[in-house]
Amino acid sequence: MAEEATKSRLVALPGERTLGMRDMIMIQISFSVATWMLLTGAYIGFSAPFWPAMIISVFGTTFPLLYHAFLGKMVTRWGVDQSILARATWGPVGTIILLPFFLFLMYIIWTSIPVVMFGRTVNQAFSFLGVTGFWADARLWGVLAFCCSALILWKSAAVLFWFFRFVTPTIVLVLILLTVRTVVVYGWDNLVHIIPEGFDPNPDMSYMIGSEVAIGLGFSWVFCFSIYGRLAKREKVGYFGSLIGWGPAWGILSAPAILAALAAGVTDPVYLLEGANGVWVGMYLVFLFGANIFSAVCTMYIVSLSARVLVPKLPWSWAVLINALVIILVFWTAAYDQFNKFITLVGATFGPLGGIMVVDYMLKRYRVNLRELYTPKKGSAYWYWWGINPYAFIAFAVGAGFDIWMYNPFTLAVAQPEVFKIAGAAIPSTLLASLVYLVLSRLFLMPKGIGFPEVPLVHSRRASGTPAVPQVALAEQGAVEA
Amino acid sequence: MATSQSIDPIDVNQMVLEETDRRLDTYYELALPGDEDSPIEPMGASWVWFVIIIGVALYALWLIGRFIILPIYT
Repeated sequence: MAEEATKSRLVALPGERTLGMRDMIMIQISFSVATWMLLTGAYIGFSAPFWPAMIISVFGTTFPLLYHAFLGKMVTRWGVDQSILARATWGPVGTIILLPFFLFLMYIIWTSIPVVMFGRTVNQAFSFLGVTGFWADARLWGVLAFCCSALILWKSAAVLFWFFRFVTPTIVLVLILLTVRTVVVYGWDNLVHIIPEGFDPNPDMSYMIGSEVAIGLGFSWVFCFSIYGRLAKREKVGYFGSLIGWGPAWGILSAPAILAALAAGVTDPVYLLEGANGVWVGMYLVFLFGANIFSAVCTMYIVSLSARVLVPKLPWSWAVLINALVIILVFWTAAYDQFNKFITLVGATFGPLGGIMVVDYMLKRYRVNLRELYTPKKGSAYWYWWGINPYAFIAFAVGAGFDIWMYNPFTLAVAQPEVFKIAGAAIPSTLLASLVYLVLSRLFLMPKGIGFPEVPLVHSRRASGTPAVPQVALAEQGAVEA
Repeated sequence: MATSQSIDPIDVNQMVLEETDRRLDTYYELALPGDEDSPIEPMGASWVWFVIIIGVALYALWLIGRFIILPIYT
């Protein structure tokens, strides 16, 4: 049943928590160190010289997580998948509206990126060896990469925890070696003084656009916290494990991609192989195989797990098979080729989305009624109106609308350049959405207790010395008027 | 000698649903969520200040990168 808990809607019990801080950091680094790191790093490297680019990288990946990682604290406390926990904020119907786009579609696109890049890198390596034709076809290797990932996920989700202990240190080691190799070939002084073409003739504007790319990535983890966070032993592991693994560790480890972009002057990290001999090509392939396969497994795991949450009787093999939609994106590589637009859209939407949930959990004092969460029907405590929390959606529309107005992800047009250059778009829009939800919730939800049901509390047990778990009204928590 | 007998197939999905139901009733007592005595050690509110300080430091670093370091290289 513990194995089943890793791939179903079960609440993870304390005895099933297996992940300490070291494990969690390693797992989250493994999760992030992959093609999206190389691709995002390359885009950041294209926006500014090396040291400013490194600052962008560390800031952009870490700052948003300082806020969103409170979602990690919440999932660790309750051991519940986020697609269930989200009902507390958005309502059951609202969650079903959000999941197809923000979870299934987005993560299928994310999965396509390591898969596509694996195929292209093998193609590049074959070109280096003079091999052409069927076996050098990038799409063939992309499909094979997907099949390997699906097979691992289908066989066992729990065994991943052990693989990570071996794979992550290996990936980090190879990344360090690749950095050394790049520096030796191009020269450190040369690399740090290269001025990239940039996304805009104005360096300040290019710096901000590069920051938006990194911030978009920092905000992209909203539905990833529960993958392993619900198996964390302590709440601090849920918060800081995710923060460190996806934030500063990611920002620093993206240095090879930043250097590669500076050296090659392009945003496609496949060129990291350029000028390398066979040994380096081999090492690079090992890195891509390990990192991309496991990163694809992680995002596929999110989709499969959430599918089983929505349809509890769905067999695991079918839940894994949903990810086969990725194959479409192996043949139609729009997300990979226009990654900057994709990541900007992610920042515009996931930032407000996660911010609203954090505010909601804070207002709920990180307490939920599990029984009500698992009862998504009319009349349940988190039903709101027609199964939707309209105030959360209003706040989301305000935040995402502001972001798209300020920095349009489809055209990359900036509405107010002077404001944008200092504040950006994704962070203000997230704060705006959070503020709007805070005000609306205080005005319209909390006074009526809508979405704030009674929760079984244990705090009073110690005080009273009684073994029973008393029902304490929200009024006693100070959240509503008594 | 072993004989083939009709054995009820184990319905894992049904088991999961029943187990979910059981856990919903017992989780509060087993996990004491948010309580000081919880086996899942809670993260206290005081950590918010630590997070705010790190956030301010990071934003200061970003401003230094934008206004001091970037002009040096461009």
